Amino acid sequence: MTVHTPISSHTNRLPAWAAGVTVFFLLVGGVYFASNLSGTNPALAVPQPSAAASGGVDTGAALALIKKAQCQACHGQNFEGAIGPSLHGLAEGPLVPALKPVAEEHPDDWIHLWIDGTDPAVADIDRKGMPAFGTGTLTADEIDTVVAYLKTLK
Amino acid sequence: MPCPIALGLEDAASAAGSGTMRPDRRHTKAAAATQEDLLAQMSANLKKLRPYDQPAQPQKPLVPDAPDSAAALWLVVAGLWLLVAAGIGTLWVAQLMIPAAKLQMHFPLAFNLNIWVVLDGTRTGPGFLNAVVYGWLTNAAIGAIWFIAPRISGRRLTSNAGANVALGLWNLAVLLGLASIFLGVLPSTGELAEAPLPVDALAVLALLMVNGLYWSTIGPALRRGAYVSLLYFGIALLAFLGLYAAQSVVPLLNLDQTTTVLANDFFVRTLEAYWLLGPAVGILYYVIPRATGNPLYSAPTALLGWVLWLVLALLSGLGKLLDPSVAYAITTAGAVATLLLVLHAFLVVGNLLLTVRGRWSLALVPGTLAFAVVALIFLLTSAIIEGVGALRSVQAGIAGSEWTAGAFVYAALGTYTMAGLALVNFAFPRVLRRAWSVNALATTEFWSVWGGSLIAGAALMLGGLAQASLLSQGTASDQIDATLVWFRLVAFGGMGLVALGALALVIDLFLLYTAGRTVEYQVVIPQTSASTSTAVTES
Repeated sequence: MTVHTPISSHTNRLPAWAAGVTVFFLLVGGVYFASNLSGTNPALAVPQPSAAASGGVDTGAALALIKKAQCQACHGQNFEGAIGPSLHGLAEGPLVPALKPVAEEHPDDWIHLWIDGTDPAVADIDRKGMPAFGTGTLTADEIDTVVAYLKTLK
Repeated sequence: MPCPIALGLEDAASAAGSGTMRPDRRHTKAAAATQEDLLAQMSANLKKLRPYDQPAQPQKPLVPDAPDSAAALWLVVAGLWLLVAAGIGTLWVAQLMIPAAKLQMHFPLAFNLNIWVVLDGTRTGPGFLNAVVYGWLTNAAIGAIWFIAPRISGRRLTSNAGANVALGLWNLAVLLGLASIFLGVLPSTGELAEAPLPVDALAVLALLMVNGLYWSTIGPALRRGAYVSLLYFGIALLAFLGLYAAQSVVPLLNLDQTTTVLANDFFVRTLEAYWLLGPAVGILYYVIPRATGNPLYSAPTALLGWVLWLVLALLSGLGKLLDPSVAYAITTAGAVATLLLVLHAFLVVGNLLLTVRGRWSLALVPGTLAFAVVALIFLLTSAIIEGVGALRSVQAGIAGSEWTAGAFVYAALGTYTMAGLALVNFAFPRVLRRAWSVNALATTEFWSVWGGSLIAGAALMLGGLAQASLLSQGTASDQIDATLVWFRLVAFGGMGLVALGALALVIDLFLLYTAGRTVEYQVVIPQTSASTSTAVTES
């Protein structure tokens, strides 16, 4: 059974040490705040990759689009492959045999065609559950941004 | 067989006030009569009795009876989550040491469907974070609230069944959230509460139920003033519900990437400040006066600390908005708030250490007070670490290093976990009405958890400093990894110790329940002005 057992207080006054330390900390905080009012925040919360490191690819935009399209749900958090195949090394060519004929016929834009999924060149290939993102999820420019990023994955 | 004592709430409350205790004589008489009848039958025909003629032994229920069934269940589940979280944490640090180490499990299903469970560093890290915060610490905090609130307010928990349903909903949501991390369903990882929307909805429903039960329980008692623990719990519960619901809605707003990341950083910081820090302090304000039998040293100091926490916890989230798009003064205000949380910790620690006066010998054995005192030390030091990390000159230096992970491990497994364990060690024998004693398991639990969290947290923070230093010198990543491996090895040992302590806790609780001697507990209510003390039976 529950018993009402209140906790009493030894003193009902604020001790001098508590008042003193409160005033001291508030003063220190106030001085620190006053001396750090102007300036510009560094971009630490959202790391911005350098253009050199990313080969001129807009990584931030690409990752946002990848998040929107939920690519990682099938291809893994690091695109290492899960339900779908790995996306590393796409710049060298497709890892899936079914896509090799398309890559030979369209060496520059086979990834775009495959992600878009509406072009006749890929119409007869079994997509194994992969959506056709060109049907409303991503625009052609957005697919280009994603493709440019995917090609940087070694 | 102990004589059962049943007390009505009002009887008990009035007994506490008058300084006397009146057991319900009807129940004791009935029990004694039944016992005498059985003994008479047995003595008359002792040789004729066959085994199946023996009087039925009272069945031990799997879940303790109300009013403490909700507290017991939440705390048991919390203990299991601590073990799971420490295990995932150990795996995470191991994968920091050996990034290529990856566990991959493939479950082929019908209709050409496949499930891939991948345990690599990008998933075990968030998995550990979620298991600690939403599994262990949340279950422990809510279990503590169900244990403490009725005792201080003098009001029964309005619905134990409702609390148990909330337990099921919450833990289902946490399990599904973890599964979505390890199955790779989430669009990104590394953040708290970014579970799929239906899972978040389940969690919000559970939090709504918990809030409803808490406020309906203590609401009427607030009219005659509330003890500071109840104030911490109330604000922490409301903040947790609000923050979680808001974070769940963020992905639906189609914000740009920067705003989304900033919103998440704000959420993580304020969640820690409100939901992890608040209940931990509320627990310490309860268990230390209870374990020592002393009155709280200063109620006004406790109230001042609570007001500071209420304001500063919200503002401290602003310190994480480190982006050029946010005004510099706003971020500085957040940094100052984080710094001033050291003041809050100082007031809490000073007030509670003065409460312990004259009872220090109790802290020398690994029991409730020892856990609580170690939690106070962790509380002050982790507040200082957070405060130093929020300074402008330090922020840039440690950005992108393992300092942040180390500070989290230090605070979560040190401060909040030790406070939670103090409550578990105090509450469980009372909930189960079992005798508790210092044994090898309790000693292992105490030393392993605090030692392990200190070692793991310190190793990761020091590694983070080394990492930041090497990064600033432009050192190659493979050389940085080669340097950090030693820090990570020490952190691995620390996390292993925490896992060992968690295992000891679970075994200790199991043995306490199955083999502990049945007892009734008494709590001493000290009188501040008179020389007499009142002792009442506590569940």
